[in-house]
Amino acid sequence: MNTLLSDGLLRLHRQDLRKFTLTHLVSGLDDEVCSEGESRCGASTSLSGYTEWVCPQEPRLSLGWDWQYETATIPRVVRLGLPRTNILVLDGERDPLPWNESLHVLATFIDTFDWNTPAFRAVCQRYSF
Amino acid sequence: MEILSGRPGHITQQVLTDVARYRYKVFVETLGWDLVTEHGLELDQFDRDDTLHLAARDEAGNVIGTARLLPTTRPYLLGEVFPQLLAGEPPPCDPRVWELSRFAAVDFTASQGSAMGQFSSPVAVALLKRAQAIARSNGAERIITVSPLGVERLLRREGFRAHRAGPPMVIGGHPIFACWIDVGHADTDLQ
Repeated sequence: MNTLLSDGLLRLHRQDLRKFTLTHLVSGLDDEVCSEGESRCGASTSLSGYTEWVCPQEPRLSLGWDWQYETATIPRVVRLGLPRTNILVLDGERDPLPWNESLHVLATFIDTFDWNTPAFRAVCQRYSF
Repeated sequence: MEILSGRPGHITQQVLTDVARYRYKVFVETLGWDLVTEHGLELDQFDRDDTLHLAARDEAGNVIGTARLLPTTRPYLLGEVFPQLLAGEPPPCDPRVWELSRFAAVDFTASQGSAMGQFSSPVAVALLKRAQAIARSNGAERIITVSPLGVERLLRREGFRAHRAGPPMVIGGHPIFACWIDVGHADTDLQ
């Protein structure tokens, strides 16, 4: 068979990323994994989780990443690591970036908009009782 | 640990029954999936004569992991039940794409276990590498799967090349997504 097998990735130029508005889909908390020593009463606990964002119109962009609630200085929610996605960023004319480099570009893009507030608000609502 | 694989007829009916019972414990009892079951066995319309089953067993013969492979040229889970996860793209129908489903590696005989353990153990890694090899030997160039969202970060942590095929969706209270997984290369099977 000579046809190219689709990899299912959406290819976007770096400069086109900001043309799309992402909306919040779902956010959640990680199951806390801790050793026996850390589970004692009064021990500090960390808050971390994931958040998922989508483009509601075509193309159906999807970005998800992990986050952590930091309390060291000013309490804030920060991105952890590289995103998970169906986007492959193109550079120049039509050249796809290496996968990891593409993820770094997307991570930089994520840091340009306020995802932190809606994600953390959604988590608070989801887990409140 | 040993990993048995094959189609019905190639592996015994007892192993297939053990796999169905194990799948019930993982997907119905542990993960709470709303599946049609009978007599504590989880089987569906995709468990056919051409389905390739994988079963990981411990030294005592207990099933500690399962998976199944289906060609996308015949009906398969993603194409029939969850096509919406492909964001409008048609489900693949190509001999070079095989579907991996009912993947689990929870050891119920171990002292501790969790749903996240579904993919965190060496059993899971061995099982997925074997599934890649079997898919590859059947002509696959890519694997596609429907998975709980958490599997994606675990795939990355374990070094598998994978990416999502579309946005995740919350279905039945569970965030799930369609995922492409490379079939790897023969020289990675021994790692």
